[in-house]
Amino acid sequence: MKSKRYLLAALVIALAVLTLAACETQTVEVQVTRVIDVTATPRAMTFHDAAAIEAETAPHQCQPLASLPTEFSQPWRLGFINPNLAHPFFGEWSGAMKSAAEFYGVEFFESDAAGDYATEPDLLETLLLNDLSIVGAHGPNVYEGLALRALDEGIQFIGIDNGPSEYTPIVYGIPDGIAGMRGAELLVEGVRKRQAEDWAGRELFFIELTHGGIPACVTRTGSAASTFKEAFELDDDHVLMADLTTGRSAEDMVNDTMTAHPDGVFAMIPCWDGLGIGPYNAVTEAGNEADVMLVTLGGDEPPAKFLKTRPMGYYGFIEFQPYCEGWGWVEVALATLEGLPFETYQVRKAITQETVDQRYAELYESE
Amino acid sequence: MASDEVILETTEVDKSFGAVHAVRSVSWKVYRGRVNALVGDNGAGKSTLIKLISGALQPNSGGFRVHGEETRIGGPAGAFNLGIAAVYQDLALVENRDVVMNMFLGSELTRGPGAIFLDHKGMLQQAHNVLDDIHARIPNVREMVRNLSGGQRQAVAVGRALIRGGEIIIMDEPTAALGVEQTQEVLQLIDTLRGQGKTIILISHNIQQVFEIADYISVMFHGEMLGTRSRDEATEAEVVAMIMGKRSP
Amino acid sequence: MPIQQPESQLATSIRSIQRKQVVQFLLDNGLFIAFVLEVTLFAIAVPEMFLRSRTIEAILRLSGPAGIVLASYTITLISGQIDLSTAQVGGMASLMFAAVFQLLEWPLGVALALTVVLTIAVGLLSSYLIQQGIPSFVSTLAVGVVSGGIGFLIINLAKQPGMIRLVRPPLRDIANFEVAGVPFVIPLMFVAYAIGWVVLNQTKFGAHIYALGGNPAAAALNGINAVRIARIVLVTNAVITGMAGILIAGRQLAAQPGVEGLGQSLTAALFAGVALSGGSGKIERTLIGLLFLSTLTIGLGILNVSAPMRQLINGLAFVFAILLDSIRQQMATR
Repeated sequence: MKSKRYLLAALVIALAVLTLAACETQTVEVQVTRVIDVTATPRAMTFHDAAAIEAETAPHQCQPLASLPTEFSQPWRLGFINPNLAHPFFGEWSGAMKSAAEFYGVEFFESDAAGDYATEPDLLETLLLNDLSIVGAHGPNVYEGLALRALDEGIQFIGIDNGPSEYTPIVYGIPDGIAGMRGAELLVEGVRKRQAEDWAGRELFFIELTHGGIPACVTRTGSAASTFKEAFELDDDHVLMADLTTGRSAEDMVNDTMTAHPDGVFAMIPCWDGLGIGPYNAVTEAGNEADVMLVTLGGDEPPAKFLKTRPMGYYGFIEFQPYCEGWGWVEVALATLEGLPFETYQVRKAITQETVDQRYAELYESE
Repeated sequence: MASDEVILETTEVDKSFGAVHAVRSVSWKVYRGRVNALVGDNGAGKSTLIKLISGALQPNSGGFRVHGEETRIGGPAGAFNLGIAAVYQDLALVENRDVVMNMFLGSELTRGPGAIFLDHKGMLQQAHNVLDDIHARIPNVREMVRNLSGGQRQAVAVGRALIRGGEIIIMDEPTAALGVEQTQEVLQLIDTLRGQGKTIILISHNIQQVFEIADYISVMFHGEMLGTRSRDEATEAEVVAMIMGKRSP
Repeated sequence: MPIQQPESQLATSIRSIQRKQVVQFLLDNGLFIAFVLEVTLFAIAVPEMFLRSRTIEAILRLSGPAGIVLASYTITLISGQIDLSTAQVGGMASLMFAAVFQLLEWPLGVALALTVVLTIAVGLLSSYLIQQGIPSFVSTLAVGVVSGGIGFLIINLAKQPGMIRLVRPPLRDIANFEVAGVPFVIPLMFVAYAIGWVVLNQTKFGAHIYALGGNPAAAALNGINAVRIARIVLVTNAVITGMAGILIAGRQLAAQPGVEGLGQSLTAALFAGVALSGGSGKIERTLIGLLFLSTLTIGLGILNVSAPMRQLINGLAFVFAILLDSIRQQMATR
C-alpha cells in the first residue's frame, strides 16, 4: 500500500517536473533528486537536534516532541484556528507556532476566532482555501465539526486540548491526568508545610473545582483529587467537589463549603487558574485567607503576576508552558504528515512563590 | 326630491368617544344615483358618520337601512358586501405598489386551488376596464402609485371602490389637496360615476364646489344632522348659515 | 435677461432630475455594481486564491443556512416587522433538538416536532407582543433574550459544557449530505428563494404582506388582517430559523446557544434594498446581498485581515446598509 502511494507520488511529481521542464530547465535536476529520495530511501535524511530546539525556544526551552528531518518530503502547509489571539495563553501558542513553522521551514496559516468559538466553522472554510496539508484548532465546542469538515477535504485535523473523538484519532495537548497529579503533588507539599505550622491538628478538606461537562476538566481535577486523597488518606467526606454545571458560581460554592465546616482547612485545585483564583479572592475578602491553600493549573502571565504578590494561601501553579505547547503542535503535525513517531506533550514546570520571580523575569521581562 | 329613491338611511345613529359625543342621534337619507354632499365645520362629525357607514367604526346605538332593509354594518368587509365603499381622504394607497395592486388591495383576484395564487392577468384586464369607464388618464397601470398625480391617485382609489362592486361611494374631501386642474378632473370623475348610476356621498369644505356638483346638500353641526336640501332649492347663504349652526325653520 | 431666468430654472430642474435619476439608478443597481466590484477587487488582490471553484464553493457553503433564514427574514421585513431574535432562536432550537435527539435518543421525527413546537411558541410570543402595540424590534429583542435563556437552561439541565454534541446518525449524515460534491444546503437555499419569490409575487398572501408593510393603515381599511399576517410571518420565520439552526448544529456536530451568521440577515437585506420600514424590496436581491457579505468574509479571510479589523469592517457594512436605507426612503418621499 505504502509503496504504491510513493509510486503514485513519484509519478505525480515526475509529471509536474515534466511540465515545469517545458518552461524552465534549471529546476529539473533538483526535482529529480527529490523523486529518487522518496522512492528509494524514504527516510535517509538528517534530523534536527534536540539541543538546538531547546536553545531556539529559550527562555521556554521546549523539549522537541518529534525528531524531524531537516528536509521534508513535501512543502507542507499547516493551518491553525487560534481561539483568541488577544488572550495571553493562546497568544503564546500563536507566537510559538509561527516560530516553529519558520524554524522547520514550512508554511503556516492562522486565523483568529477572537474569543468566539462559533465563528470557527466559517474561519475554517477560508483557511482551507490555502491548500493546507493539515489543520488544527482549539474548539471545545465545535472541534468535531471542524475535524469532520477537514476530513471531507482529505485533510488531517489535530486539535489542542480537545480530547478524543471518532474524527480526531490524534489527541494532542495537556495530558490532563498527569497535570492534575502534578498539581496535587505540589499542593501536598504546601499543605504538609502548613501542617507543621498553623494548620497542625486542623481538619483537612480537599475541594475539587471543576466543570462536569468538560471531559478534560473531569480528568484533570479528578486525578488531582485522587492523588491528594491518597497522600493524606482522606475519606470521601473530606473530598468535596464544586461543579460549575450546577449553575452556581465557584465563589459561592467554596464559601458555602467553608461555612458548613467552620473548623476545617481547605486545599483546592481548579480546572484552570481563574476558576481557583476567583474563589480564593472571595475567601480572602471574607477574612478566611488563613484557612485555604490553592494550587492552580495553567500558569500564564495573570496567575504568575498574582503569585508574585505572595498571597498567603496561593502555593503555586503547574505551568502548562503555552509556548512549548504551541511549538509542539507544529512538531506533532509535521511528524504526522511525515509518518514519524511523536511523544505526548508533558507538563513539568511547578512554580511556587520561591521560584515565581525568576520565572516571571525569564518569560515576561526578558525584552 | 320625492321621485328619488333612498338607497341608504341611518336611524338615530349615535357615537361617542369617551366624553366626546361625536355623532348625536343622526337620521339621514342618501339618494340613489345622486351626489349627496355632507358639509359642516371641522369637528362637526362628518368623518365619524362616514366611518360608521363604511364600517370602520361601530355605533353606540342606532341602525342602518340599506336598500330598505334593516342591517348591521360589521366592519369594512360588511360594508363592501352591502356595496358601500369608502375613498378615504388619504386614499389608503400603498405608495410602493403599482396601480393594479392598489386597485385590488384586499380583494385580489385569484386562480388555482384554494384561491392562493394571484390572477395577475385578470386583475390587469379589469383594472384597465374600470379606469377606462371612469375616463381616468393613467398611461401605465404598472406604475408605482408614488409616481402618480393627485387626480390619478383619486382615480385609483375610486377604481378600487368600483372593483369592490361599490354602489355607494363615499368620497372624503377628494379635492382638498389638489390644484385647479386636478380638482376639475376629480369633479368630472364624480360626474362620470353619477352618470353610471352610482350613488356618491361627498364630504367637502368647499361650498362652491358642492353647489357645482352635488344634488343634495346635508349639513352637520356639533354632531347633529341639521337638515338636507336639494341643491336647486338651497342657496349658498342658507347652507353657510346652517354650517354656522343656524337651524333652518 | 428676464427671458434667461426661466430657461436657467428649467436647466436646473432638468439637471436635478438627471441627478435624481443617477442616484435612483445607483440605488437600484448599486448592489450588483458593488458585488461585481468586490469580486473584481479580490480577484486582482489575490487572483490565484480567489478565482477558483473552491473559493466559490466556500462562499456558497458559508451562505447556505443563513441564506435559507434570510429568505424568510426578507419576507418578515417586507411585512413591516424586524426580527432581532434569529441568532438566539436558531441556537435555542438546535439545543432543544440536540437535547431530545442526542441526549434522550428519541426518534428524529419526535425531536424535530418538539423543536418546531418550541419555535412556533416563540413566534407566537413575538406576534403577541406586537399585537399589544409593542414595536417588533423591541418585542423580538426581548423574545431573543428569552430564547437565549431557554437555550442556556437546556444546556444546564443537561449538564453540558456550553454546547451539546450532535453526532448521532442520521442527522449527522443529513446535515453533511452532499449532492455531486455540493452540500445539499446550497440547492436548498435556492429552493427557499424560489418559494419566497412565489409567495411574495404570485400569491394573495404576498400581496397582503407588501400592502401591510407599505401602509398598515391602508391595509387595515381594506380588510387585510394585520395581526394574522404578522403572526404567520413571525412564526414561519422562527420555525425556519430553528430548522437552519439545526442544520448548522448538524454541520458543526454541536448545538450552541447562539448561531453565528444568522445575525447578518438584517445587513444583507438592507443592502438588497429591503426597506427597514417594510413594504418594499425584492427577495431575489437579498440573495445577492448575502453573497456580497459572504464574499467579504471569505475575501478578508484570504487577505488575512485581523479579527478586530474584520469585525470593524462588518460593523461598517451594517452602518452603510442603514445609510443606504435612509437615502432610499428620502428618494421615495421627495
